[in-house]
Amino acid sequence: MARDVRVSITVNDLPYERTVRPNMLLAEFLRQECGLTGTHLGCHQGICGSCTVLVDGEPVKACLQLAVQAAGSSVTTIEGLAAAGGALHPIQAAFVAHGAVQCGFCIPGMIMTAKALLDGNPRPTVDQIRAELANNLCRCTGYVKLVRAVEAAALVLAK
Amino acid sequence: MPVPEFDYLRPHSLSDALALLQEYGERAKILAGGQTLIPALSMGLSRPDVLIDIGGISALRHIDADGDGLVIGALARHRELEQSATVKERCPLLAAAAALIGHSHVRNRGTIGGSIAHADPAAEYPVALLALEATVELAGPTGPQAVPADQFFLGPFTTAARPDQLVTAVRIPALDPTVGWDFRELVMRSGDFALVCVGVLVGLDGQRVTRAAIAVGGVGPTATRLRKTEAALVGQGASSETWRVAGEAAAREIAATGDVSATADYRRATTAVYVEEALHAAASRVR
Repeated sequence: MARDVRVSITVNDLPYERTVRPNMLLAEFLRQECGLTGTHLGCHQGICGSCTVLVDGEPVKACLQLAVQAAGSSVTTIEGLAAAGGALHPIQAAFVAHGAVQCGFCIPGMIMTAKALLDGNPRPTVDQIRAELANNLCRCTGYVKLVRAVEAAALVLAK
Repeated sequence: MPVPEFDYLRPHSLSDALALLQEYGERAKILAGGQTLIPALSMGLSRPDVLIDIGGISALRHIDADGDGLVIGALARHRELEQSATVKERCPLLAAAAALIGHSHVRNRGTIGGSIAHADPAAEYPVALLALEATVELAGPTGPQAVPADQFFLGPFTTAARPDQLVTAVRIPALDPTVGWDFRELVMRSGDFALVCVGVLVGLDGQRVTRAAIAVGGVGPTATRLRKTEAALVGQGASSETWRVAGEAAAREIAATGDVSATADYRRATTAVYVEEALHAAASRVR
Protein backbone atom coordinates (compact mmCIF):
# COMPACT_ATOMS: atom_id res chain seq x y z
CA MET A 1 0.00 0.00 0.00
CA ALA A 2 1.36 3.37 -0.97
CA ARG A 3 2.65 5.49 1.87
CA ASP A 4 0.98 8.89 2.24
CA VAL A 5 3.13 12.02 2.19
CA ARG A 6 2.83 15.18 4.27
CA VAL A 7 3.03 18.28 2.07
CA SER A 8 2.87 21.99 2.63
CA ILE A 9 1.84 24.10 -0.36
CA THR A 10 1.04 27.80 -0.39
CA VAL A 11 -2.01 28.49 -2.54
CA ASN A 12 -3.11 32.06 -3.26
CA ASP A 13 -0.96 33.19 -0.30
CA LEU A 14 -2.61 30.77 2.16
CA PRO A 15 -0.69 27.79 3.58
CA TYR A 16 -2.23 24.33 3.12
CA GLU A 17 -0.71 21.44 5.08
CA ARG A 18 -2.15 18.11 4.07
CA THR A 19 -1.35 14.40 4.06
CA VAL A 20 -1.84 13.19 0.50
CA ARG A 21 -1.59 10.06 -1.57
CA PRO A 22 1.55 10.21 -3.76
CA ASN A 23 -0.60 9.74 -6.87
CA MET A 24 -2.69 12.86 -6.24
CA LEU A 25 -2.27 15.37 -9.06
CA LEU A 26 -1.67 19.01 -8.19
CA ALA A 27 -4.98 19.79 -9.92
CA GLU A 28 -6.76 17.29 -7.65
CA PHE A 29 -5.06 18.80 -4.59
CA LEU A 30 -6.34 22.26 -5.54
CA ARG A 31 -9.88 21.03 -6.16
CA GLN A 32 -10.27 18.45 -3.38
CA GLU A 33 -7.98 19.63 -0.58
CA CYS A 34 -8.27 23.40 -1.11
CA GLY A 35 -11.80 23.47 -2.49
CA LEU A 36 -10.61 25.65 -5.36
CA THR A 37 -12.64 24.23 -8.20
CA GLY A 38 -11.80 26.98 -10.67
CA THR A 39 -8.85 24.86 -11.79
CA HIS A 40 -10.55 22.52 -14.25
CA LEU A 41 -9.38 19.02 -15.18
CA GLY A 42 -10.09 18.33 -18.82
CA CYS A 43 -7.84 15.89 -20.64
CA HIS A 44 -5.41 14.62 -17.97
CA GLN A 45 -2.75 14.65 -20.70
CA GLY A 46 -1.37 18.18 -20.75
CA ILE A 47 -3.15 19.01 -23.99
CA CYS A 48 -6.21 21.13 -23.13
CA GLY A 49 -4.65 23.56 -20.64
CA SER A 50 -7.79 24.06 -18.52
CA CYS A 51 -5.80 23.14 -15.39
CA THR A 52 -3.15 25.85 -15.96
CA VAL A 53 -1.91 27.45 -12.73
CA LEU A 54 1.21 29.39 -11.76
CA VAL A 55 3.78 27.51 -9.67
CA ASP A 56 6.34 29.94 -8.26
CA GLY A 57 5.21 32.37 -10.96
CA GLU A 58 5.62 29.94 -13.87
CA PRO A 59 2.63 28.63 -15.83
CA VAL A 60 2.33 24.85 -15.62
CA LYS A 61 -0.34 22.27 -16.28
CA ALA A 62 -1.57 21.02 -12.93
CA CYS A 63 -2.51 17.63 -14.45
CA LEU A 64 1.16 17.07 -15.34
CA GLN A 65 2.41 17.56 -11.83
CA LEU A 66 1.89 15.58 -8.65
CA ALA A 67 0.89 17.43 -5.50
CA VAL A 68 4.00 16.01 -3.77
CA GLN A 69 6.19 17.64 -6.41
CA ALA A 70 4.72 21.03 -5.52
CA ALA A 71 5.63 20.68 -1.82
CA GLY A 72 7.16 23.94 -0.64
CA SER A 73 5.96 25.82 -3.73
CA SER A 74 3.67 28.81 -4.03
CA VAL A 75 0.73 28.27 -6.36
CA THR A 76 -1.59 30.89 -7.86
CA THR A 77 -4.97 29.76 -9.21
CA ILE A 78 -7.77 31.65 -10.93
CA GLU A 79 -9.31 32.29 -7.48
CA GLY A 80 -6.15 34.23 -6.56
CA LEU A 81 -6.60 36.93 -9.20
CA ALA A 82 -9.64 38.97 -8.17
CA ALA A 83 -9.03 41.58 -5.49
CA ALA A 84 -10.35 41.10 -1.97
CA GLY A 85 -13.96 42.24 -2.16
CA GLY A 86 -14.39 40.57 -5.54
CA ALA A 87 -13.34 43.26 -8.03
CA LEU A 88 -12.26 41.44 -11.19
CA HIS A 89 -8.62 41.40 -12.21
CA PRO A 90 -8.11 43.49 -15.40
CA ILE A 91 -7.57 40.30 -17.43
CA GLN A 92 -10.85 38.86 -16.16
CA ALA A 93 -12.62 42.15 -16.85
CA ALA A 94 -11.20 42.26 -20.40
CA PHE A 95 -12.39 38.68 -21.06
CA VAL A 96 -15.91 39.68 -20.03
CA ALA A 97 -15.87 42.98 -21.92
CA HIS A 98 -14.66 41.39 -25.17
CA GLY A 99 -17.04 38.43 -25.15
CA ALA A 100 -14.14 36.00 -24.85
CA VAL A 101 -16.10 33.71 -22.54
CA GLN A 102 -18.58 31.29 -24.07
CA CYS A 103 -19.11 28.02 -22.16
CA GLY A 104 -16.34 29.04 -19.77
CA PHE A 105 -14.70 25.67 -19.16
CA CYS A 106 -11.34 26.67 -20.62
CA ILE A 107 -11.36 30.23 -19.27
CA PRO A 108 -9.51 29.77 -15.95
CA GLY A 109 -6.62 28.16 -17.81
CA MET A 110 -6.73 30.78 -20.55
CA ILE A 111 -6.61 33.58 -18.00
CA MET A 112 -3.72 32.02 -16.05
CA THR A 113 -1.78 31.64 -19.31
CA ALA A 114 -2.51 35.29 -20.13
CA LYS A 115 -1.47 36.34 -16.62
CA ALA A 116 1.91 34.59 -16.94
CA LEU A 117 2.43 36.08 -20.39
CA LEU A 118 1.67 39.66 -19.32
CA ASP A 119 3.72 39.31 -16.11
CA GLY A 120 6.81 38.52 -18.20
CA ASN A 121 6.00 40.54 -21.33
CA PRO A 122 3.67 43.50 -20.65
CA ARG A 123 3.33 44.48 -24.34
CA PRO A 124 3.21 41.23 -26.33
CA THR A 125 2.65 41.16 -30.08
CA VAL A 126 -0.42 39.38 -31.45
CA ASP A 127 1.85 36.53 -32.58
CA GLN A 128 3.25 36.19 -29.07
CA ILE A 129 -0.26 36.14 -27.59
CA ARG A 130 -1.33 33.48 -30.08
CA ALA A 131 1.79 31.36 -29.35
CA GLU A 132 1.08 31.43 -25.60
CA LEU A 133 -2.65 30.80 -25.92
CA ALA A 134 -1.71 27.72 -27.99
CA ASN A 135 -1.14 26.10 -24.58
CA ASN A 136 -4.92 26.12 -24.11
CA LEU A 137 -7.81 24.73 -26.13
CA CYS A 138 -11.23 26.37 -26.48
CA ARG A 139 -13.91 24.15 -27.97
CA CYS A 140 -16.33 27.04 -28.51
CA THR A 141 -13.83 28.36 -31.14
CA GLY A 142 -13.57 31.74 -29.50
CA TYR A 143 -9.89 32.37 -30.25
CA VAL A 144 -10.19 35.75 -31.98
CA LYS A 145 -11.97 37.30 -29.01
CA LEU A 146 -9.55 35.65 -26.61
CA VAL A 147 -6.59 37.28 -28.38
CA ARG A 148 -8.39 40.66 -28.41
CA ALA A 149 -9.15 40.35 -24.71
CA VAL A 150 -5.48 39.74 -23.88
CA GLU A 151 -4.45 42.71 -26.04
CA ALA A 152 -6.98 44.90 -24.24
CA ALA A 153 -5.86 43.65 -20.81
CA ALA A 154 -2.26 44.48 -21.69
CA LEU A 155 -3.27 48.08 -22.42
CA VAL A 156 -5.14 48.40 -19.11
CA LEU A 157 -2.32 46.82 -17.10
CA ALA A 158 0.28 49.09 -18.76
CA LYS A 159 -1.48 52.19 -17.39
CA MET B 1 -8.96 7.62 -14.77
CA PRO B 2 -7.30 7.79 -11.34
CA VAL B 3 -3.54 7.51 -11.33
CA PRO B 4 -2.49 4.04 -10.03
CA GLU B 5 -0.92 4.00 -6.57
CA PHE B 6 2.82 4.01 -6.00
CA ASP B 7 5.31 4.88 -3.30
CA TYR B 8 7.07 8.22 -3.73
CA LEU B 9 10.74 8.68 -2.90
CA ARG B 10 12.66 11.91 -3.30
CA PRO B 11 16.44 11.48 -2.99
CA HIS B 12 18.57 14.61 -2.70
CA SER B 13 21.81 13.24 -4.09
CA LEU B 14 22.81 11.21 -7.12
CA SER B 15 24.26 8.45 -4.92
CA ASP B 16 20.98 8.14 -2.99
CA ALA B 17 19.04 7.98 -6.27
CA LEU B 18 21.34 5.25 -7.60
CA ALA B 19 20.99 3.25 -4.37
CA LEU B 20 17.17 3.42 -4.72
CA LEU B 21 17.39 2.34 -8.36
CA GLN B 22 19.56 -0.62 -7.31
CA GLU B 23 17.02 -1.54 -4.66
CA TYR B 24 13.86 -1.29 -6.77
CA GLY B 25 15.19 -1.96 -10.30
CA GLU B 26 12.43 -2.33 -12.88
CA ARG B 27 9.72 -1.82 -10.23
CA ALA B 28 10.73 1.86 -10.14
CA LYS B 29 10.36 4.73 -12.59
CA ILE B 30 12.47 7.87 -12.48
CA LEU B 31 10.42 11.08 -12.29
CA ALA B 32 12.20 14.16 -13.68
CA GLY B 33 9.92 16.91 -15.07
CA GLY B 34 7.03 14.46 -15.40
CA GLN B 35 5.62 15.95 -18.60
CA THR B 36 5.50 12.52 -20.24
CA LEU B 37 5.51 10.17 -17.26
CA ILE B 38 2.56 11.73 -15.43
CA PRO B 39 0.15 11.54 -18.38
CA ALA B 40 1.44 7.98 -18.95
CA LEU B 41 0.48 7.18 -15.35
CA SER B 42 -2.91 8.87 -15.80
CA MET B 43 -3.57 6.79 -18.91
CA GLY B 44 -2.45 3.57 -17.23
CA LEU B 45 0.43 3.14 -19.69
CA SER B 46 2.99 2.99 -16.89
CA ARG B 47 2.38 1.22 -13.55
CA PRO B 48 5.48 1.50 -11.38
CA ASP B 49 5.45 0.42 -7.73
CA VAL B 50 7.81 3.24 -6.84
CA LEU B 51 8.45 6.70 -8.24
CA ILE B 52 11.95 8.04 -7.63
CA ASP B 53 11.66 11.82 -8.00
CA ILE B 54 15.10 13.19 -8.93
CA GLY B 55 13.76 16.77 -9.16
CA GLY B 56 15.47 17.67 -5.89
CA ILE B 57 19.00 16.78 -7.08
CA SER B 58 20.09 20.31 -7.89
CA ALA B 59 23.54 19.13 -9.09
CA LEU B 60 21.82 17.71 -12.18
CA ARG B 61 20.29 21.04 -13.24
CA HIS B 62 22.94 23.00 -15.12
CA ILE B 63 24.03 24.28 -18.54
CA ASP B 64 27.79 24.79 -18.77
CA ALA B 65 30.47 25.58 -21.32
CA ASP B 66 32.80 22.60 -21.79
CA GLY B 67 35.86 23.67 -23.76
CA ASP B 68 34.21 25.07 -26.88
CA GLY B 69 31.27 22.69 -26.45
CA LEU B 70 28.54 22.23 -23.87
CA VAL B 71 27.73 19.96 -20.98
CA ILE B 72 24.06 19.96 -19.98
CA GLY B 73 22.70 18.37 -16.81
CA ALA B 74 19.81 15.90 -17.11
CA LEU B 75 17.43 18.24 -15.27
CA ALA B 76 18.00 21.26 -17.55
CA ARG B 77 14.55 22.21 -18.78
CA HIS B 78 13.54 22.68 -22.42
CA ARG B 79 12.73 26.34 -21.74
CA GLU B 80 16.19 26.90 -20.26
CA LEU B 81 17.89 25.35 -23.31
CA GLU B 82 15.64 27.39 -25.63
CA GLN B 83 16.56 30.67 -23.91
CA SER B 84 20.15 30.10 -22.70
CA ALA B 85 22.61 32.57 -24.25
CA THR B 86 25.36 29.93 -23.91
CA VAL B 87 23.34 27.36 -25.86
CA LYS B 88 22.27 29.88 -28.52
CA GLU B 89 25.88 30.94 -29.06
CA ARG B 90 27.54 27.52 -28.99
CA CYS B 91 24.83 25.25 -30.29
CA PRO B 92 21.92 27.11 -31.90
CA LEU B 93 20.64 23.83 -33.36
CA LEU B 94 19.91 22.56 -29.85
CA ALA B 95 18.15 25.79 -28.84
CA ALA B 96 16.02 25.55 -31.99
CA ALA B 97 15.15 21.92 -31.23
CA ALA B 98 14.16 22.74 -27.64
CA ALA B 99 11.89 25.57 -28.83
CA LEU B 100 9.86 23.10 -30.94
CA ILE B 101 8.98 20.79 -28.02
CA GLY B 102 5.29 20.87 -27.05
CA HIS B 103 4.01 24.23 -25.86
CA SER B 104 5.66 26.67 -23.47
CA HIS B 105 3.99 25.33 -20.30
CA VAL B 106 5.39 21.86 -21.00
CA ARG B 107 8.80 23.38 -21.78
CA ASN B 108 8.74 25.05 -18.35
CA ARG B 109 8.85 21.65 -16.66
CA GLY B 110 10.12 19.03 -19.12
CA THR B 111 13.81 18.08 -18.96
CA ILE B 112 16.40 16.96 -21.52
CA GLY B 113 17.30 13.91 -19.43
CA GLY B 114 13.69 12.82 -19.13
CA SER B 115 13.07 13.23 -22.83
CA ILE B 116 16.10 11.26 -24.00
CA ALA B 117 15.62 8.50 -21.40
CA HIS B 118 12.05 8.13 -22.66
CA ALA B 119 13.27 7.98 -26.30
CA ASP B 120 10.00 8.75 -28.04
CA PRO B 121 10.58 8.08 -31.77
CA ALA B 122 9.02 11.47 -32.62
CA ALA B 123 10.91 13.54 -30.01
CA GLU B 124 13.23 16.39 -30.97
CA TYR B 125 16.31 15.78 -28.78
CA PRO B 126 17.27 12.36 -30.21
CA VAL B 127 17.41 13.97 -33.68
CA ALA B 128 19.44 16.91 -32.38
CA LEU B 129 21.89 14.74 -30.42
CA LEU B 130 22.46 12.41 -33.37
CA ALA B 131 23.17 15.32 -35.75
CA LEU B 132 25.49 16.95 -33.20
CA GLU B 133 27.31 13.67 -32.37
CA ALA B 134 26.62 14.25 -28.70
CA THR B 135 27.43 11.84 -25.88
CA VAL B 136 24.94 10.72 -23.23
CA GLU B 137 26.44 10.34 -19.76
CA LEU B 138 25.03 7.67 -17.45
CA ALA B 139 25.63 6.89 -13.79
CA GLY B 140 25.13 3.46 -12.27
CA PRO B 141 26.44 0.91 -9.79
CA THR B 142 29.49 0.24 -11.98
CA GLY B 143 30.36 3.94 -12.26
CA PRO B 144 29.89 6.57 -14.94
CA GLN B 145 29.54 5.60 -18.59
CA ALA B 146 29.55 7.76 -21.73
CA VAL B 147 27.51 6.49 -24.66
CA PRO B 148 27.62 8.14 -28.11
CA ALA B 149 24.13 9.21 -29.21
CA ASP B 150 24.18 6.81 -32.17
CA GLN B 151 24.59 3.90 -29.76
CA PHE B 152 22.09 5.23 -27.19
CA PHE B 153 18.77 5.32 -29.07
CA LEU B 154 18.10 1.66 -29.86
CA GLY B 155 14.41 1.62 -30.78
CA PRO B 156 11.01 3.01 -29.86
CA PHE B 157 11.15 3.96 -26.16
CA THR B 158 14.34 1.88 -25.86
CA THR B 159 17.82 3.12 -24.98
CA ALA B 160 21.20 1.65 -24.04
CA ALA B 161 20.64 2.71 -20.39
CA ARG B 162 20.15 -0.29 -18.09
CA PRO B 163 17.37 -0.22 -15.44
CA ASP B 164 19.96 0.54 -12.72
CA GLN B 165 21.44 3.47 -14.67
CA LEU B 166 20.41 7.11 -14.71
CA VAL B 167 21.02 9.73 -17.41
CA THR B 168 23.07 12.46 -15.73
CA ALA B 169 24.19 14.74 -18.56
CA VAL B 170 24.58 15.32 -22.27
CA ARG B 171 27.90 16.44 -23.72
CA ILE B 172 27.83 18.36 -27.01
CA PRO B 173 31.10 18.74 -28.92
CA ALA B 174 32.23 22.16 -30.14
CA LEU B 175 30.71 23.12 -33.46
CA ASP B 176 33.13 24.54 -36.05
CA PRO B 177 31.76 28.00 -36.87
CA THR B 178 32.20 27.23 -40.56
CA VAL B 179 29.59 24.48 -40.26
CA GLY B 180 25.99 25.48 -40.98
CA TRP B 181 23.04 23.93 -39.20
CA ASP B 182 19.28 23.62 -39.46
CA PHE B 183 16.49 22.00 -37.47
CA ARG B 184 12.88 21.82 -38.58
CA GLU B 185 9.84 19.61 -38.26
CA LEU B 186 6.45 18.96 -39.80
CA VAL B 187 3.52 19.01 -37.38
CA MET B 188 -0.22 19.17 -38.02
CA ARG B 189 -0.69 21.71 -35.19
CA SER B 190 1.96 23.57 -33.20
CA GLY B 191 3.03 21.51 -30.20
CA ASP B 192 2.08 18.15 -31.71
CA PHE B 193 4.52 15.29 -32.12
CA ALA B 194 6.49 15.61 -35.34
CA LEU B 195 5.51 13.61 -38.42
CA VAL B 196 8.97 14.43 -39.77
CA CYS B 197 11.77 16.00 -37.72
CA VAL B 198 15.10 16.88 -39.35
CA GLY B 199 18.42 18.11 -37.93
CA VAL B 200 21.36 18.74 -40.26
CA LEU B 201 24.92 20.06 -40.28
CA VAL B 202 26.64 21.10 -43.51
CA GLY B 203 30.34 21.99 -43.89
CA LEU B 204 31.47 23.75 -47.07
CA ASP B 205 34.91 24.39 -48.52
CA GLY B 206 34.13 27.16 -50.97
CA GLN B 207 31.32 25.61 -52.96
CA ARG B 208 32.06 21.95 -52.14
CA VAL B 209 30.40 19.93 -49.37
CA THR B 210 33.08 18.70 -46.94
CA ARG B 211 30.86 17.41 -44.18
CA ALA B 212 27.22 16.43 -43.83
CA ALA B 213 25.22 15.12 -40.90
CA ILE B 214 21.54 14.34 -41.47
CA ALA B 215 19.40 13.02 -38.61
CA VAL B 216 15.70 12.26 -38.97
CA GLY B 217 13.01 11.41 -36.43
CA GLY B 218 9.24 10.98 -36.34
CA VAL B 219 9.22 8.87 -39.51
CA GLY B 220 9.95 5.40 -38.15
CA PRO B 221 10.77 3.31 -35.07
CA THR B 222 13.64 5.51 -33.87
CA ALA B 223 15.59 8.65 -34.73
CA THR B 224 18.46 7.81 -37.03
CA ARG B 225 21.41 9.23 -39.00
CA LEU B 226 21.15 8.85 -42.76
CA ARG B 227 24.73 7.69 -43.41
CA LYS B 228 24.27 6.71 -47.06
CA THR B 229 22.73 10.05 -47.99
CA GLU B 230 25.47 11.87 -46.08
CA ALA B 231 28.25 9.92 -47.83
CA ALA B 232 26.78 10.65 -51.26
CA LEU B 233 26.53 14.35 -50.41
CA VAL B 234 30.17 14.87 -49.40
CA GLY B 235 32.23 16.11 -52.35
CA GLN B 236 29.21 17.48 -54.24
CA GLY B 237 28.92 21.11 -55.27
CA ALA B 238 26.61 23.24 -53.12
CA SER B 239 23.55 23.83 -55.29
CA SER B 240 19.78 23.60 -55.21
CA GLU B 241 20.04 20.46 -57.34
CA THR B 242 22.42 18.84 -54.81
CA TRP B 243 20.01 19.49 -51.96
CA ARG B 244 17.07 18.20 -53.98
CA VAL B 245 18.89 14.96 -54.89
CA ALA B 246 19.94 14.48 -51.24
CA GLY B 247 16.32 14.96 -50.11
CA GLU B 248 15.20 12.22 -52.49
CA ALA B 249 18.01 9.95 -51.27
CA ALA B 250 16.93 10.59 -47.66
CA ALA B 251 13.36 9.59 -48.51
CA ARG B 252 14.69 6.28 -49.88
CA GLU B 253 16.97 5.67 -46.90
CA ILE B 254 14.44 6.10 -44.05
CA ALA B 255 12.46 3.12 -42.73
CA ALA B 256 9.15 5.01 -42.88
CA THR B 257 6.14 3.66 -41.02
CA GLY B 258 2.49 4.58 -41.43
CA ASP B 259 0.13 5.23 -38.55
CA VAL B 260 -3.08 7.09 -37.72
CA SER B 261 -1.34 10.45 -38.29
CA ALA B 262 0.30 9.83 -41.67
CA THR B 263 1.02 7.08 -44.19
CA ALA B 264 4.55 5.84 -44.87
CA ASP B 265 4.33 7.35 -48.38
CA TYR B 266 3.43 10.73 -46.91
CA ARG B 267 6.38 10.56 -44.52
CA ARG B 268 8.77 9.69 -47.38
CA ALA B 269 7.44 12.50 -49.57
CA THR B 270 7.67 15.10 -46.82
CA THR B 271 11.09 13.84 -45.64
CA ALA B 272 12.42 14.58 -49.15
CA VAL B 273 11.15 18.17 -48.90
CA TYR B 274 12.22 18.77 -45.29
CA VAL B 275 15.74 17.37 -45.80
CA GLU B 276 16.14 19.41 -49.01
CA GLU B 277 15.01 22.61 -47.28
CA ALA B 278 17.10 21.94 -44.17
CA LEU B 279 20.28 21.38 -46.22
CA HIS B 280 19.60 24.55 -48.20
CA ALA B 281 19.10 26.55 -44.99
CA ALA B 282 22.18 25.02 -43.32
CA ALA B 283 24.38 25.82 -46.31
CA SER B 284 23.17 29.43 -46.21
CA ARG B 285 24.31 29.64 -42.57
CA VAL B 286 27.92 28.65 -43.38
CA ARG B 287 30.15 31.62 -42.62
